[in-house]
Amino acid sequence: MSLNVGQPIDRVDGFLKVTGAARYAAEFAHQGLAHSVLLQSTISKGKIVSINTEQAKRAPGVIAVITHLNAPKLNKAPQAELGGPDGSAAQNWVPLQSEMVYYDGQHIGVVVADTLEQANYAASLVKVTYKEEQPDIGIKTSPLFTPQNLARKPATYSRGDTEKGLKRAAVHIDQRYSTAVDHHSPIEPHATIAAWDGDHLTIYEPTQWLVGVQMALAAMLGIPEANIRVVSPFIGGGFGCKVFVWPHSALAAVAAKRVGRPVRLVLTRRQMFTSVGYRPESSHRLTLGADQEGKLLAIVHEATVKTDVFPEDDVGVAPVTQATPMMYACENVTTVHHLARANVGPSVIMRGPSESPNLFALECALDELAYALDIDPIELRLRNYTEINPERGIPWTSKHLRECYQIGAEKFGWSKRPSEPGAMRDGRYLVGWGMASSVYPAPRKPASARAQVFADGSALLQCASHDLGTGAYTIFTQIAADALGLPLVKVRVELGDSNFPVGPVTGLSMTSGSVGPAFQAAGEAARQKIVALALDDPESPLYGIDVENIAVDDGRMFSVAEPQKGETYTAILSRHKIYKVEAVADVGPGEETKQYAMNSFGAQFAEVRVDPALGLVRVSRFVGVYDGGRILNPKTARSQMLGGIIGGIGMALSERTVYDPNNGRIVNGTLWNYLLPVCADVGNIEAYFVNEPDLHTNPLGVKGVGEVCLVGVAPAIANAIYHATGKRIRELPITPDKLILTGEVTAVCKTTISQPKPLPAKEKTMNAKTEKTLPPDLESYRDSYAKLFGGVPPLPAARFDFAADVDPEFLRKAEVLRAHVFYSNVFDQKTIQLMCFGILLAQGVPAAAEHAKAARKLGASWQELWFMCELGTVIAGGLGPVNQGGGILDKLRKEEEGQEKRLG
Amino acid sequence: MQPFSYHRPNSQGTAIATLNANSQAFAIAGGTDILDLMKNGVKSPDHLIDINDLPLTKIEETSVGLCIGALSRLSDVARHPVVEKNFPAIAQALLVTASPQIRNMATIGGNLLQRSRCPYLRNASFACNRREPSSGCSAIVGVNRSHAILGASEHCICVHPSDLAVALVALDAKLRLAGQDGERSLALEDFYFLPGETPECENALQKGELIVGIDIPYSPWAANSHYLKVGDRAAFAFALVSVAASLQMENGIVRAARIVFGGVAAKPWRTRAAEAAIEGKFLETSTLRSAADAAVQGAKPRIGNAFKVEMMQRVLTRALVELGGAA
Repeated sequence: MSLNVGQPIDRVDGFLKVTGAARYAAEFAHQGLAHSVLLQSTISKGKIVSINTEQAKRAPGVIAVITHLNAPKLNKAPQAELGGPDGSAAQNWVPLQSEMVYYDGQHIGVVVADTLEQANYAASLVKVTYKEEQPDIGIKTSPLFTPQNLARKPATYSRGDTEKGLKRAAVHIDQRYSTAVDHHSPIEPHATIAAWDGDHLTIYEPTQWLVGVQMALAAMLGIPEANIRVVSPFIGGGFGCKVFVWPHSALAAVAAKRVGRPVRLVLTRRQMFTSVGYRPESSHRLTLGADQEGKLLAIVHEATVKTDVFPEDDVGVAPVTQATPMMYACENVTTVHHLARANVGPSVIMRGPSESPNLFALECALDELAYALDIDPIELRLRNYTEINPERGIPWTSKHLRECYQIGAEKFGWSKRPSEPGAMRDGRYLVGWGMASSVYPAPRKPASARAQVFADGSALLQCASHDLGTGAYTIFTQIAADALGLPLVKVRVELGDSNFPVGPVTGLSMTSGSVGPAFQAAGEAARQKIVALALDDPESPLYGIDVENIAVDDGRMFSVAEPQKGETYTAILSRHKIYKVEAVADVGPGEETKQYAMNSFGAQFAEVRVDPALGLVRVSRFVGVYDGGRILNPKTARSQMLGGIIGGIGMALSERTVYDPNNGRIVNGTLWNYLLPVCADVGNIEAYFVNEPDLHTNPLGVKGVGEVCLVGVAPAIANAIYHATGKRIRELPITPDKLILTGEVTAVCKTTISQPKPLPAKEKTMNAKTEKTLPPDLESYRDSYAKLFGGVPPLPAARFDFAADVDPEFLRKAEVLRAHVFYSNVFDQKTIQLMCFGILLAQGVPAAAEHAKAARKLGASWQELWFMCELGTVIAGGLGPVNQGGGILDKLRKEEEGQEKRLG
Repeated sequence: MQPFSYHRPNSQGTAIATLNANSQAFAIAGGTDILDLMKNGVKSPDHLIDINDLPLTKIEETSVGLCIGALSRLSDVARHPVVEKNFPAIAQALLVTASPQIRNMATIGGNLLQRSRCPYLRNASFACNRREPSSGCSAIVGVNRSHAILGASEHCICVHPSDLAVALVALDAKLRLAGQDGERSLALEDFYFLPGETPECENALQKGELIVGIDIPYSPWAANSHYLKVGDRAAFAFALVSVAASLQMENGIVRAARIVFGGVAAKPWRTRAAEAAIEGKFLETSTLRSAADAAVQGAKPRIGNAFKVEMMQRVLTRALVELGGAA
């Protein structure tokens, strides 16, 4: 019987929340609670020379100041790996273990005091001196490399022959797209209360993964997982930054141990920008080839994501090419994924990780193709629609993307859309309509739940799962009520305590589909136990009836055939003097994950009004239609869709974390300067669901909708802006300055048919005039020379020009080898270039000069370079290297001085 | 945050005396800026003088204009009927300032004294000449998208963040300043300093002085005034570029004009060249163009803010169109 699931039930925790009775992690009261404040680095690379804590220690109320000089050893915890079962730590690095600094805002100490104000004041008295080094910062200037695997899949993917496909294509799109660093910025900052009781630790913190906190803290602190209890009943928003475990949680535990009192640690808003991850910057080159009918003949997607300096963290990077091979029917697809290693803090998944940057590039490129072919954007997608996952060659459990397009087009009024850009006006505003597809995996993980039915007819169900604010408490109550045959008011669901049966991480849109079935199974098991009791009880009116013929409603078991025959849970439990009946269920995915691909889908439609003179964009209307399987509660699901769409509006138009180009530090780590959408930025939003249960995925038929609602929003808006203005902005966020400085390109579209688009303007290189067009992966390798040397030196340039025609495969292999050596993690970039300079100098090879230049760019001093000349001379056994080297360095110095004068 | 002592005097005299008696004393009214500065270690007063009990909340019409008490809240002034009718640029500027919650707290005097939103000034771990003389300017070589293109120096390129101040300069507003030696009056236009060699000297407020009121004269152009702002989101964002324009029109001809920009300099940037370009003229397309050209004379954009030159011209053109110019 399904009475509640599928109904728009009000939030069961709504009253607690609006009255302030819902208690969040930092609000738990503790006797003798001490307050701690984090100290963070103010450089991005270098080391701490001295850290003076004397004054701070003497400040009123201070109990302890912990730095790398007096911190206990912390172990590295296994790194969380997307798609992998193992770790739960958000970053591999553990704080306060050395004087080294790798990124801005790295934790370098903790001050503990009786009050927060005292801790803050004392923190301001700590004096730190650094030896600062030049950090690697930009995605274009940081060392680039191609990892083997990302998210447990090869980082490079290929099927068919893209080169042939591109040759056969009548129309080409070849463009670059980029997305910015975005920070989750939930309204509730991360906060931890750590309380020790002997060798047992209780942690109160907002987390999307209770068990993950146990795992990571056990590893870091070197204590058994069983000794750690994690409590997290309510979460004030997470969006991914509370999924994995950050080192500040361990620091709170260390501080509590040190002072022998419970300790609270709350991150400041600025620290929220340096301590708990972000959606990393990504750049893309998308090359599409299609025939005149719009059939895709080739897709080449090359992307780079900026990552931190810890190689162990690479497995945690959300790849931004993984949706490209599975989205459309196309025989020839290549994706290449690079990482750029920079002095930034670790990134982490953020709502719609992977797919949201991925589909920004892919769905904008599709829109460009639609204009180039003069085919309606929805029609183009339908012509490339696939019922089979083309990457894995297996069907989906269900795919209703076609219905999403249809319903969306109808609700939005898409048929009235003129195809020409700039064709719709509303007074001074240009109006544009754009759309994009959306997709997100629908994974399922094992989960357990416990159901207890009490003699008073009420029930309590528990799982170590989480409600991020999405409505999980509510839908679980609905599921449990239906499974037990009880009214909603008799059912209480508890989440957020690691003492409950194990639940999986709440992220990646999997909570409904993983934990929901556990509550369903636990509820049904408890019901069966009570029913069995009745069927065996000669005193029961149900005695001897076949179990198949029993139903339960409103806490009363009855015979389906003769509904007047029956009794309540209360009656039978009281008669048997049973206080409670308990059942635990463990459920999880099975073989279906191998037979089917599992994804949620969506279609996003945006209407924008652009003030063309001032470059102002407002999203006046948005329609999203989602295939998330069965919708358990249309009211809470709709709220979640609105939130996701608003997140997408921010990604498209205003959110961007800015780093100082000189020192790599975050400049706008505040909510007045990091611009989330406000009410005035959000027009009318409509969200619809196909609402077709997907019973292959899980017994509830739900696929999850938490991310699919954000993915595709930014490209739909960018496409709408193009439709309004004829301006194609390929770099997020689309701010007024970009719109007023970009020329209109309305007329270009149709002329490109059967004519590949010219390559976009590239950075100036030494041989810019003669530079030839290369396949995208080779081009990026060639670019890496330009980044390192400030231009492609003549010898490698000639190698690329010639070998690209004769043996491109050799070039690729040679570059992989070169990248392996040149961007190794054994030495830093500067040292490698210094050594190259010294070796080539000792060999008398003129290319030494290029490496001297590269070493300078990477921060080498004249002394260091000159020392290599001396070393070369000693090794070569003659004055050649110092003579030649002196010449090279003298010339280089004069060039640099000349440049400074010009700039000055 | 540093420890400080808190005073709440109930008379103007006591407040001024307390401010004078302590070298590191600072006044607090709405607290929407000073508390943020204190929490971030940008400002560390030893004494905080709460002036909310002073009788400075009146908005009064006089024979020559309007006098707004310095402790009037932004929300009260924005909805005042005389302001809406006779000084529309003020109401418009206030309604695009911050958020409703902040407008309910923030005061008129405090709004004029808020410090720049240069992110380097507001983060004490960066070098900033304005916060700490001779420490260097991080913005000149750093992120400067929001910074000045006019009136800046090699020591500081920050901009003044107030929307209200821009509108008030366009309406010839004068400040009433009260100190130990009594009251004085100063045109708001002359109140703010350009950074020059001494970016730490931000305005003409002297030690122990309080802004107690603002006088806005009736003028033939005040009622025909307009404020227009471009920001990175629809509300609650500081101006990338804004303009207040105030025109006296006679048979389609501009008799007198005030054109003042925000978001482009360390003070509200009045441009007399642009005013001259339209005075005595019909607001034809060519006139608008020459005003726009005149407005950006002398602009020195940096890498991140070159767009502001174009934006200034577009914003001015739009504002003049709103006030009766040819579209």
